[in-house]
Amino acid sequence: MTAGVDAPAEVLSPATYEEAADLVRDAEASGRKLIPSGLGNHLDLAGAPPRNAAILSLARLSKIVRYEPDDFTAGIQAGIPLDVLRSELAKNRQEIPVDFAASPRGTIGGALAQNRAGPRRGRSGTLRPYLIGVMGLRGGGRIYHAGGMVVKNVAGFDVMKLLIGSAGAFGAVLEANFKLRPIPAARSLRRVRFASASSAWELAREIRRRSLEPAVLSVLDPGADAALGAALGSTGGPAWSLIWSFEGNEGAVKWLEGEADRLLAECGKGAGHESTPFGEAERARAVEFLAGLREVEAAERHRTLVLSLATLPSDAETAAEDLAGAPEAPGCLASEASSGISIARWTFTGGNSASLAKRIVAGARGIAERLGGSGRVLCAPWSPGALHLEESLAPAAAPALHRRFGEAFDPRGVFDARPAEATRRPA
Amino acid sequence: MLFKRKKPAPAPDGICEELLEWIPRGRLITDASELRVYECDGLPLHKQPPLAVALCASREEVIRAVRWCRRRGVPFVPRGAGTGLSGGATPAPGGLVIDTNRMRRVLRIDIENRFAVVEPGVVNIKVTEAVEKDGLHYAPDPSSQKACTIGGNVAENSGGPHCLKYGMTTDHILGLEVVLPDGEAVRIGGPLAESAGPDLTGFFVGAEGTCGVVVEATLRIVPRPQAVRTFLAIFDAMAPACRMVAEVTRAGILPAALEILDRNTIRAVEASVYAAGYPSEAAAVLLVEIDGFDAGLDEEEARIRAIAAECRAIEFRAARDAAERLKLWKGRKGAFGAMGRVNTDLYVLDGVVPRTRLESTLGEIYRIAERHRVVVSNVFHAGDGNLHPNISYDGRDPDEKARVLRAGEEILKACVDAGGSISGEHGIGLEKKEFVPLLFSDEDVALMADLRHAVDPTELSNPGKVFPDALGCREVRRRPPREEAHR
Repeated sequence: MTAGVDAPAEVLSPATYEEAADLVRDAEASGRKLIPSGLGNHLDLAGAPPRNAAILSLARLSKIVRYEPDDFTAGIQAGIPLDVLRSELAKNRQEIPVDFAASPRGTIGGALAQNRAGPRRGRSGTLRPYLIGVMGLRGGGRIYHAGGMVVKNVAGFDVMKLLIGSAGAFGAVLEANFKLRPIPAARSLRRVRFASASSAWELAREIRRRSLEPAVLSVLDPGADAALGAALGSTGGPAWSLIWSFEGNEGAVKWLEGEADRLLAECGKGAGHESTPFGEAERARAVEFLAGLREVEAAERHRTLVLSLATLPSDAETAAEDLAGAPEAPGCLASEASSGISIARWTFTGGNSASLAKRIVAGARGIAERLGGSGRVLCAPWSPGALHLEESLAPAAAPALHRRFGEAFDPRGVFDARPAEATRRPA
Repeated sequence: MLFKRKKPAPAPDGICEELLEWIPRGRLITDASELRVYECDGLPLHKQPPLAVALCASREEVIRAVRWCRRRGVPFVPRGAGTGLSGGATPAPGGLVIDTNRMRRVLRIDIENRFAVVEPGVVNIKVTEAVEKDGLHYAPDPSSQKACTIGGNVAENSGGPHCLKYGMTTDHILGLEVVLPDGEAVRIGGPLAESAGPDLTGFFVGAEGTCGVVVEATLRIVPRPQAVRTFLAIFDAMAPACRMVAEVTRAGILPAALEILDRNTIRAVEASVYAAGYPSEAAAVLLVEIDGFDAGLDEEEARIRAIAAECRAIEFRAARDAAERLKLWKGRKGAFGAMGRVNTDLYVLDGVVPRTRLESTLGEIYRIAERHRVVVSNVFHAGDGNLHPNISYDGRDPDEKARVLRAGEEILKACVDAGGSISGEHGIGLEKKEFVPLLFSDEDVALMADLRHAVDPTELSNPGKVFPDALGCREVRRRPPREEAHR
């Protein structure tokens, strides 16, 4: 395994928590930086590691250590691959209702550190509400716990929250406890294709205004719609589409689909649309496709830019218009109408992808600033000192506080803080 | 020390004059008799009159209050309505109470984007009242929601019966403005669904006022459910009521609320103005509420009825209309008040266990009560395993009071031994700080202390709360460190 574009780093793979703690102590003693990692599939997104850094891989710590299906709770080691976790929980028709891309594979620890979420975010949220306890490793090789294994608990500080999105700067998560949800008995998927973006947005707004609370409510530009069509084996001419999915029991989902149909009949008048319901297999593929828009395979990263732009839901249409109307329009744009998050992707074919990406990011920052939004660079053609994973599109809140917490977790700075610094970098 | 009422120390010379430089005389309390009102919160076991109380009406006054405390080395305690049940708002000796009750403006309501921005003194129920005409509500509903404030809810990460489905306060706080203990005001989080970096907002929720004073909160507001159905399952023993909770959970049903009242509670309620028609001969009643889209509720109701029958409920009643539903809830929500009839004082405990351990833990709680000859009534959020054993006692009897405290400690140990926790929604405060080592190792507490010091190195913000007084010299059993201890 290598960790960077041009600087392979040693990979340390502890098999026990004590081994991991010893490695942290050794690194501190030798002045070496450690980069917490899962499977290592996302490491190069942060650029080349510092000289003499080592990867602290948690890939061997990958068990479900406590699973109480009757209590809907599970304690999981950080290195477990997300797809393995999903399939284990599904055996009891349970899940953490957050969707991740199938490829490149990631781990639950990585998903927590990067605060990753999927297309069901508008209704089910991120990993945050499901995380009920942690075992972590901080500077000094010190192992700590916070929270517990019960679904409601206010004993002690909510340390777990600080670890969500900490990008590894606060140390490594060794174990995470989650409360689980039943996999819904019924789930629908609909794709409605329109000739114009405004028709798709109008229906999305109406579904939201009527509080139908879909699990997924995404507006796709023609690039994203075509890619989804390919994933579903259902192609057509260029169109904007609205994708929705309802979850619940059969009675509720059937009624919700009927209501959505009624709204479609009202909003879709004269707009010319094509509405296609899909089955469970296609629903799963569509959700995986939408989750996958945030991810880039390693071989494509040198020519791919992915941004996540967050605005208020009421500004999501404007954000999407601004992104699509920019001189370098994204090849693929999907906007979550419930959460206000737009995922935009560019694939470059020329040789100047890094400078082009910088210009696009600057434009996206302008959109974020105008709309009071925020966002992150999820992948960028790597260039020294130019762009980094998780670089923020808006000034970070309370950067000094963030730093002080970092020093509290890791007073000697053994854990690599570069990705965390990128999140604090002002626009 | 804990039970003896202390005389307030007179304010040192010059203090009043200094305080009056930034707060009007009418909003500064220094009179000894008036200060008595602030000597405790909803946990009267701990009383400590403050040096003074500043009734702050704006964020600027809070900033000046905190800066003054910092300059003078005076500890301060933020306070909302004082309804907390763990002594979190008990003043520090010689400390200033920063009362935020007068900061009660709803600053912004954004219906389309479903958030509201409020000052900390806004009463919980007022948020819902401000948005209900648009079909929305603020979901966290602690029993004291008609009195408690958002600032206090944030400090304690308050719960309530409906947090089973809708989540705790932390799940509904999108952003905060906090005056840090050094007097700097910082904004963290906000209504956007995503921002880069760690979740600082989540850390400050539930920090029990030890990391500064909240002066503004951005709240998530959510649609009111289209339909609600409320049921009462009546049992002739506690065990099957607990089994029904476990079976509902196991079936993957997520009701809006699952609340149990035991025999002692039922009798207290039915003898009070909160009488809800619960049968006095029942050993337990289980209040079940489901909500959502009406079209989905028949299916859910049928499954719940079937589980009630399997668990041998002797009766299963459905509220036929809103009036009947309110009546069923009246008994539950008035249960703590009704217990005032049982004896002069009430010690409200708050522990959590895994839902599958409810039955065995309750058995242990009754055995502990019997052993210590105390009267315990259980009314609790069964759906999330959050127990509230309530011990009624005569506070004038020192022997009884001592037995109550011993029983309380053993009950919390029983919760931890069952894989649970020492607080589900009331917080640690003063009440349980010495029990923290039951749950956390020295390393765990050390991290929390380091994080607190990162924000408040001088420990002026609500000192003496959350952390045990003297790690290393206590009688309670300490958790072994590291992985073998993780539950």
